[in-house]
Amino acid sequence: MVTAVITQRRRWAGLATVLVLGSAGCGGDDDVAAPVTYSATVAGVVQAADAFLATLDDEQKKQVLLDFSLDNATAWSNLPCGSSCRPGIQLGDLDTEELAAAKAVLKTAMGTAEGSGSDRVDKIRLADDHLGELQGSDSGGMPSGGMGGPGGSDSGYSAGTYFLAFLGTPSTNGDWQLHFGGHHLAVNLTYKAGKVAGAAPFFVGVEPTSWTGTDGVSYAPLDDMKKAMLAMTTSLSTAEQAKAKLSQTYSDVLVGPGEDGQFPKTKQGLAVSTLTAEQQKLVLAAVEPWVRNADDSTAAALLKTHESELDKTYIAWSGTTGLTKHADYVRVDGPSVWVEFVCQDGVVIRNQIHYHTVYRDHTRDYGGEFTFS
Amino acid sequence: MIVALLTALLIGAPPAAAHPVPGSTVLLDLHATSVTAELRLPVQELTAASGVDPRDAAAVRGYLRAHLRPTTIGGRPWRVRIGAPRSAGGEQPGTGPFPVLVVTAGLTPPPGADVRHFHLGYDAIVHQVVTHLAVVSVRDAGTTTTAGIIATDNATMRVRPLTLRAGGPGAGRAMGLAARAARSVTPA
Repeated sequence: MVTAVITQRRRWAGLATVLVLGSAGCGGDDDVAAPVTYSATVAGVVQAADAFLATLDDEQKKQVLLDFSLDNATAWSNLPCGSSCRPGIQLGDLDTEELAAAKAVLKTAMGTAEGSGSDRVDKIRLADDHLGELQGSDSGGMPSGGMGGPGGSDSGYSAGTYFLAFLGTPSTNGDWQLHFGGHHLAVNLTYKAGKVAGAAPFFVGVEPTSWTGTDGVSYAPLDDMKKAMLAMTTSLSTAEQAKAKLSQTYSDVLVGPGEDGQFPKTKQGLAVSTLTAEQQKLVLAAVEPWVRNADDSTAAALLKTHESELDKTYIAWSGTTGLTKHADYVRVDGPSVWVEFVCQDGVVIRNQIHYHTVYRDHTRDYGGEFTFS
Repeated sequence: MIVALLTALLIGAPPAAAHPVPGSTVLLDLHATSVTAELRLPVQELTAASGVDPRDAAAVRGYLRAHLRPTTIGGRPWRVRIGAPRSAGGEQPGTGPFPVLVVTAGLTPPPGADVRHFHLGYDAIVHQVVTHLAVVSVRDAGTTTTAGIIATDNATMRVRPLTLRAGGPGAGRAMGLAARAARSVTPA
């Protein structure tokens, strides 16, 4: 179960599985926020989606409810390109009630492990706020090396520049997709006949890799991913590392946005089947943070699948194994799972690296709805 | 959108969105009996791909000589003269400013061969940096058009070769390849 804070409305009274946990907002007060939960099931996601839609006017609904088409599904990017490269309604255009309902959808649909799921989404959006603040300030406080990138305070770096769409109509028996993203983030959760048919593609990146917010809190939202990859590669012997090393250089992920279905035909690197049981556990643990973008039940099922396919899975790296320099790169490629993690020079903070990562599934991207040649 | 991005790559203007890793550009000027190629190579990516010191002009020229090998459609090699590299600045959509090397090369076909239809034989940087792109354009009679993008084909992990066919039926295929490659740098 997940908890969400949304404004209590009478029209939700008929939603049997909505549990009102707090007393605020009850007793006829329509405008006081109250925490509610939806069950972490497809039915719960549909209820959360319907509740979100109920907060919107007709024009807004048109922005959210779109066709489950190839064009819409594949319209995502790692870039801060706003609505020019992704469909949906912009979070920054929503009022408090609408935004809370939108966040409830994500919280219900995504994993609950600390640092995963919607928690990671929240932090990636905070990273964008941080970038926006850096670009809006003078460079006096910046580390040496300065800033670059698409300049100025209108660069589009902001927690509000993220977009939510439902491709197809949310239902417990039809085919539809939850499509959410913005700079350094693309979430694609596909539902078919009441089941989660795919939790990929999932792109997540972050710049800077860590920072302290104005709230004094330290953030490093992809640190668990980096550590999981490092645990895997550092468990290898010298000979195993040599076998896993790719001869070519990767300055970005290979199967990123616009590269749907474009997987290498031949797997490269080191066969996981040659590793010890302990090492194989580390391979599975390395992909787990990405898989956990899905709800907990779906993630568990996907991890079982990926575990059962470890004997046909390969790991590979390029650059250095430290994941500290531009073009340091690591990959896990199985019959289903595909995860890439790459370090890249900063775009805004030029003297630091930042991370790009992508989780794909050879057969379950977009729930297997589309065929790519 | 693709055309806008490619144009932006060529002229260095930053539109709202693009790939944050600098790409190369190859601008081909078609003359009556020869072709001039202006290569703009991001220094960091060039160094990663070649291992050469970008200040070592001889080494840079030697590297490019090995990665610019145009031929006729029948496979006969063109003569290639690599000019002296010069340093410049570059900026592409979303990258911020970055250093580039600009190198001009003279390409001369065998006598009687078509200067408007040939295999470019170019894979500098792309042969090593899998995620690198080289945008190739043609300036012909004062008009510049995109001929294609040279990039790695993910499926085979090999660089897709580019055949130039200025103004001919091959141009459409070249643009098709460009469109596919550009999806990685262009919002859908």
